[in-house]
Amino acid sequence: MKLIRFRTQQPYDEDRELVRGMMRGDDRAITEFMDIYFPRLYRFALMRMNDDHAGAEDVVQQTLTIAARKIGTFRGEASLMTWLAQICRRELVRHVKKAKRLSKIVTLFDDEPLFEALIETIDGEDDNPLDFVARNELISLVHVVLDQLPNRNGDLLEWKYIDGLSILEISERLGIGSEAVRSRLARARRAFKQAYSEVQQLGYT
Amino acid sequence: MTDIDEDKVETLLRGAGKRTPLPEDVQDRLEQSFRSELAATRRKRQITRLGAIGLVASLFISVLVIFNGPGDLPRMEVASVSRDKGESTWSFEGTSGPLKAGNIIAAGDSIKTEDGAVSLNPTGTDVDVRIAQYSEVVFVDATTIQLHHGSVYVDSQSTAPHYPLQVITNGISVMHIGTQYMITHTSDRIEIAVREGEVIIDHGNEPIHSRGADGNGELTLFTTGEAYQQFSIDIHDERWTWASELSPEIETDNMPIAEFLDWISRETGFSIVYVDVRLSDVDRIKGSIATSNAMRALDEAMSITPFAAEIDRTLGTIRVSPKTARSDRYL
Repeated sequence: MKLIRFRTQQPYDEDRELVRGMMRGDDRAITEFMDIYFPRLYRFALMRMNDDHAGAEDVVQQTLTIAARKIGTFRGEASLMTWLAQICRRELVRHVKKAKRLSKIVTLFDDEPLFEALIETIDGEDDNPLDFVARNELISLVHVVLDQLPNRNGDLLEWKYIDGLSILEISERLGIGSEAVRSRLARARRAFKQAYSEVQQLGYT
Repeated sequence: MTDIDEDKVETLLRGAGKRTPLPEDVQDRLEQSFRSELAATRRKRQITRLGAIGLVASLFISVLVIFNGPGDLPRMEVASVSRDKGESTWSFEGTSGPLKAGNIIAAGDSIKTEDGAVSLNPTGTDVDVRIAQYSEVVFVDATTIQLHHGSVYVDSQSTAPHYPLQVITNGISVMHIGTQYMITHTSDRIEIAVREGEVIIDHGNEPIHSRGADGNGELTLFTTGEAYQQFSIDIHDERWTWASELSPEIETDNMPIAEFLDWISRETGFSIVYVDVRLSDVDRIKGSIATSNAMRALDEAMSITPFAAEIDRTLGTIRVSPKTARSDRYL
C-alpha cells in the first residue's frame, strides 16, 4: 500500500537549500552559513563553558570540522542549528572529559527543565516586561531564543530592534528589496512571539 | 497558545540588548579551517558519486519504477502556500485534503478553492499568486499554472520581474513581463485584466501584448467564436477587491507613512492624493499592524497617525489629509 502524506512546509526548507548550495560549492551559501551559524555556535559553546573563550573556539572548530564532513547527512528533519547543536554537545562532553577544565556544565538550553528553571526565576505576578529583561536569566533566554530561530530571523530582529538599522540598511545588507525585508521581519516577529509564548506555557502566568 | 503583545516583543529585544559577537580573529580561523574541510568533503563526494553508488542508485530507481510506478519518485516542489482564507482543497495522486498556509505544492498538484481564497509563492521567488474563490488550478511545473475555471491574480513583485511564470487556460497562455494581472475563466469567456506592467498573451495566432500604465488597466476578452476585444479598465474597481483582501504580510513598524501608502496603492489600485499634507521620512507608522487585507490595514494605520484617509471609489483615489473630526470617513 502506498503511503501518501500531505507535507507541511517546515522552516527548515531554507536550511536544506543552504546545505545544497554548500555541497555544490556555492560560495554565497558557504559565506551565508558562516555568517549565520559561526556566531550562534560560538555563543552556544561559550554559555556552556563559563565564558572560556579559548575552549569555546576549540569546541566550535571541532564541531565545524565534523559538520563539514557530515554535511551530506543533513536531511532537514530538524533545523540546521539543532543539527549543529547536537554535534556541538558531543564535542563539549568530549572536551570536558579530555581537559577536565569545565567547572560546571550548564544544562542545555533546549532541554525543557531549563525553560522551567528560567521561569521559576521570574516572580509570578509581575507582567511588566521591563522587569523581566532586568534579569540576567531572561536576557540569556531572549538571546538563546534569537539564536534558535530558523534562518536569519534572529539576526533580522537584532538588526532592526536592537541595532536600530533601517529597512533600507537591512535591505542593503541582505541584498534584497525593502518589501521582502518587511515581509521577513513580520515572519521573524511571529517566530519570536511563538517561541516566547511556548516559554510562557511552560509555567509562567 | 498564549500570545504576547506586539509592544512586548520590542521591549524584550531592546531590553536584552545585543548577543555576544564572534571575535573577528576567531571568525577568520574558523573560516579557514571550515572551508578547507568542506572542500575536502566535496572532493570525496565527487569521487564517490562517479563510482559505484551512482550505479546502485540508478538500479534502485529503476526497480522502484518497475514495481511501484513513477508515483513513488520524489515529488518536485514548485510552490508554498503563504496565506489562506476559508475552505480550499488540495489534491494529488488521487488523494485530497484541506489546503492551509504552509503546505508545499508539487508539480501536478491541483488546488480547488471553495468559499475562500489562497495565496502562493512559487519556490524561491517573491512572486505572489492569488487564487480566487470557486477556482480550480493545477501546478503543471515550477513555471506553469493551468487554470481550469475561476480567477488567478499574479503579482510578480519588483524583486522577481523575470521569473518566467505563465498561466494557461483553454489554449490561451499568459506570460507576465513584470506586472500585476488577473486571468479569469468562466463558462463562456476568458478575461485577462492587466493592472500594471505588461503581459504577452499567446492564443494560437499572433501573440497579443497587453499593458497597464498611468493608472489605467487593460482588459483582453475572449468569447467563444468571436475575435478578441480589448478595453481600458479601472485598476481599482471591484474585480480586484478579492486580491487586495489577500495581501502579503509586511512589517509596518517604523515604516514611512508615504511608503506604506505606496504599498496600499499598489495593493488596491487606488491613487494617493495628498491634501494639505507633505509627508517626510520622519512621518512613520509606530507599531505592527495586520496587512493581510489592504483596506483594513489602511484603516488601522490611519487610526494611529495624525492623518485621515478618505476613499473616493468613483475617482479611484485615497485622499490623505490632516485628521479632523469629519474627514475620517469613506464616501
